[in-house]
Amino acid sequence: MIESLAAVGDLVTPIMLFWLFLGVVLGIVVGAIPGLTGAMLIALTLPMTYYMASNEALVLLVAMYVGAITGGLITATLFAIPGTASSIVTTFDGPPMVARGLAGRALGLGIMGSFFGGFISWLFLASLSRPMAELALHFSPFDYFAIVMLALVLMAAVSKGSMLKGLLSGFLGILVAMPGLDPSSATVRFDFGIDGMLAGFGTLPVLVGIFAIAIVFRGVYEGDASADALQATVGRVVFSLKDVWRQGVNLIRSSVIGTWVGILPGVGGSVASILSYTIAKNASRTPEKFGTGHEEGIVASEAGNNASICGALIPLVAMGIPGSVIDVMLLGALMVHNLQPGPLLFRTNPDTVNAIIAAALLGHVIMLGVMLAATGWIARIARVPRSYLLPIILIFCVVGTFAANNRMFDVWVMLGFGLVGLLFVQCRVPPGPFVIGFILAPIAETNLRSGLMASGGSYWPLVTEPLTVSILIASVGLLLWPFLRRRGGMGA
Amino acid sequence: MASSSTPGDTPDANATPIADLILAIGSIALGATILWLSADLPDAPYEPAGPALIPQIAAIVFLGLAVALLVKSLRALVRGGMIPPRWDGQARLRGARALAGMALTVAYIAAMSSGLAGFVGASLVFLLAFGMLLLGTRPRALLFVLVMAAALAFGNDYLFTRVFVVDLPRGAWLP
Repeated sequence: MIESLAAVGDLVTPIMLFWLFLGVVLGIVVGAIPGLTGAMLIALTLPMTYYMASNEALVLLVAMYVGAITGGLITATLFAIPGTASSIVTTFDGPPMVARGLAGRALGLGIMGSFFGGFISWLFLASLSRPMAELALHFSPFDYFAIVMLALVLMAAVSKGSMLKGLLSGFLGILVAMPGLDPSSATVRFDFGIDGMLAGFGTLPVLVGIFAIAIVFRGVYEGDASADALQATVGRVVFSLKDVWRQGVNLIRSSVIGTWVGILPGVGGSVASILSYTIAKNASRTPEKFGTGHEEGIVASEAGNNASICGALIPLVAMGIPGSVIDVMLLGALMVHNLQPGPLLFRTNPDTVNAIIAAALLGHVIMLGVMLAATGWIARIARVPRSYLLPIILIFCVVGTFAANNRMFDVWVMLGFGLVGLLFVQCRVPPGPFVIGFILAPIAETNLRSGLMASGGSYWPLVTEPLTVSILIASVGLLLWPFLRRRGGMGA
Repeated sequence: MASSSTPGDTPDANATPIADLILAIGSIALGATILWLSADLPDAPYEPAGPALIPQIAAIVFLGLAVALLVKSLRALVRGGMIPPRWDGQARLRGARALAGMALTVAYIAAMSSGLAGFVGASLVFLLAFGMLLLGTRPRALLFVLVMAAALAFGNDYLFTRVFVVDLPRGAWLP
């Protein structure tokens, strides 16, 4: 905790503050624009950060993460259109408040929830990540393999749509990670005689393709939405200490829920906000008011989703396991900058870890200032038709992906995976499990094969090591839970 | 009423049985290909697992999931009948626009790949065409497209070649 606080001081330099401010503002703007996502922004920025110092790059990306999750609040409240998936629940109570002429108040409460949610979860991040990393050093290779499988199943279980498709997506991601040099024995696999395939599909082109190119092509197909939105003048956006006091229990409860949901590998802000909202409603003295413009609803939703940011960073910095889809991008960023994610990161690059942790806090502080001062302006930007932005996004995708390795092959890969991403949208296949599978497959493979080497080829540790067995049972349980619940419902 | 949904599905999960069928068939083909190719991978002399282990396990699980999806989509189609996709005038227009956008993008990348066009020239032409496709040819939109194309093409060329010191593609016909 003390190192984290010291790291905050280290980040108060002109250049770092510039990256933090830029990241938060860009994140908020993109998060506010429906159809554009934080994952897309980070995927687009990743190639650009290639030329930056690794700490500066990660500070910028974490700031974008904070901004993007928060930015969805603006359009969710003012236009009843969630800018990001994690703000869906905010549309239940935000627009009714706006309709009563309380737009400024609704936004103020949402900003308050976002800030305190992020701050409270930061306390967990600062105090838990190092002990968790130390604990993770004692994990066996089979334990790591089991954790990766749990992340995949969790992501598939909570993704929108069919769990079957979620799992299909995850295992497709694993298969896509296979071409190239085998991580253990350097055998060339599935290169099809193409030179560019010796290194396999690059992380950057795949991520940019799935999250940015797919959105561009989808935007071309959908065109711009009609301007059938709530017209609202924002007025003064503010909240008071009295609001903080009144909503104190709700803030703390929603923040803790959001933090622990974020810690679960593969689960992100949308689940955190839904769970926080649901529990706040159940605990409220006036549950019937939820969904009609209730202040507690907005606070719970926004506190939950912002708390998931720091919660999801905990497994990322402690174990190298992403807590959400955006954390997969951050994992990719660590790899792009030749940093090995995992529990040893605290020992090999403590300044990087501290920069990430500090950026999570300062990002929320800057977010608070930007949102209080500029929400009205950002709401105007959010109404810019998407068609004006799509060509700009596309050109940056192409040049950024090319510039990373100076290969047109990567640009073709990016385009190919853009089409795959579009196919996912058409077939309602969630992309989250795909990127989890793609990014974590080499880690899972390396750990399983190391474990088998250590055990002399025996698979028994998978069913005898306590932690491995517990995690695998949890994974199987999650897979079977929908069937068991259905059977219970039919039997009742 | 009997449902063709699988526990764990959200309500719209079965809204695309034809797309699911195509996805399932494609996935089976991919899984089978990976399984077949991985059979030729050599064993590793120093470890029990070898480079074929994970691809084979993943391909088998993937095949199983694809077969389950195939069965599910066939059941949905049998129960609901073949539901043709809704292709009214608007959908056709949107589809044509999307295809045109993709074709432009492929042509743009191919032009640079082949060495016919460099980054600046290819980007200028591409952005003009793509911008007009999205925004139309009204004077205001056209002005925006022209300014955007020039700014992005020349701006990115300067940024990457002079600031980041990265060589961008140069072309034989266009710079």
